[in-house]
Amino acid sequence: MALTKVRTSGMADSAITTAKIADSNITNAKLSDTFGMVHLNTTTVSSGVANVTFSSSLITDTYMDYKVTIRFAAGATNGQALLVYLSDNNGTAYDIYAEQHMRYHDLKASLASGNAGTTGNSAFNVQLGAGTESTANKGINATITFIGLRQTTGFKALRYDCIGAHDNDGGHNTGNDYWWEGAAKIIGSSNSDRTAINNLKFQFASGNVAQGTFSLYGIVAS
Amino acid sequence: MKKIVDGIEIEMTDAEIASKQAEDKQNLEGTLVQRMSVLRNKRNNLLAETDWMASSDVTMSNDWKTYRQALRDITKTEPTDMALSNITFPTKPS
Repeated sequence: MALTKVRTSGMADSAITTAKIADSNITNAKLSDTFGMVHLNTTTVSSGVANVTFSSSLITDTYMDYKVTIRFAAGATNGQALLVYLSDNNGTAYDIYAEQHMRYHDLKASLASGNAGTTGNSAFNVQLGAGTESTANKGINATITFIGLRQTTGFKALRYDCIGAHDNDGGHNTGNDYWWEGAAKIIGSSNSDRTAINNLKFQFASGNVAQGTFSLYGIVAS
Repeated sequence: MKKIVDGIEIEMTDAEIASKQAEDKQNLEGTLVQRMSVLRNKRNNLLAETDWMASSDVTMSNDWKTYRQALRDITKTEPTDMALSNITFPTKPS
């Protein structure tokens, strides 16, 4: 007889010790969306596009904070930085100022570290790494946490970590691989603008996005 | 030219293509604030290399004084791109 319903309320943790249900028999189980992250979209780029965008259909008041993971994003043009642009009008304009700082860490050759990036305080984008290699299956991997995107009373922020092959990478033994880390205070279209953000656009500083997997998650607050 | 929105590939409008081209151009050239920041950082690093010559117990030659003054004056010229391609840095005296 198929198991169709399990009542867990009032059941002590120790009550189930050896039960096992085959994966194939679980068809409708779902964790309650009251904690953790909720997957909203995964976009895989396999042929060149100008950008990857998450729109106001996904970035809503359902979640205040969001997380994006990026795997093997590479541009069609070698040596270009990956950038994220923000919009508060679903992409009609990407004119949100950000204050930002980025540091680089050489993972292997010299263990050198230092400041990187030149986008400064008046940029309409946030730079995620630098000089990303365009070769297939290199590029850049990243996690980006967007904090308070939907709030309307205070500033928003983001924090990121990126690991990738720089454009002079030659492999494990000969090239330099980098970890970039950084943060940005997202101001708005003016110093007094606190409109909620509802659109994120990822693109390289020049040329198309040639490959990459971009996933968006909503972070459950309680 | 195409873009992907929420996982769906769509053709960009003429206005969106123009915007992308403008962003690429701006990223290549950087804003004047960014370009000046790059120029000042490079200039300051070069000045720091010869700061020891300005200590009280060292006599700096006129050639080095001219070189350092040229570095200080270099920010009078606005760089036209992030690569500082229109900026000529002074040659270090031998």
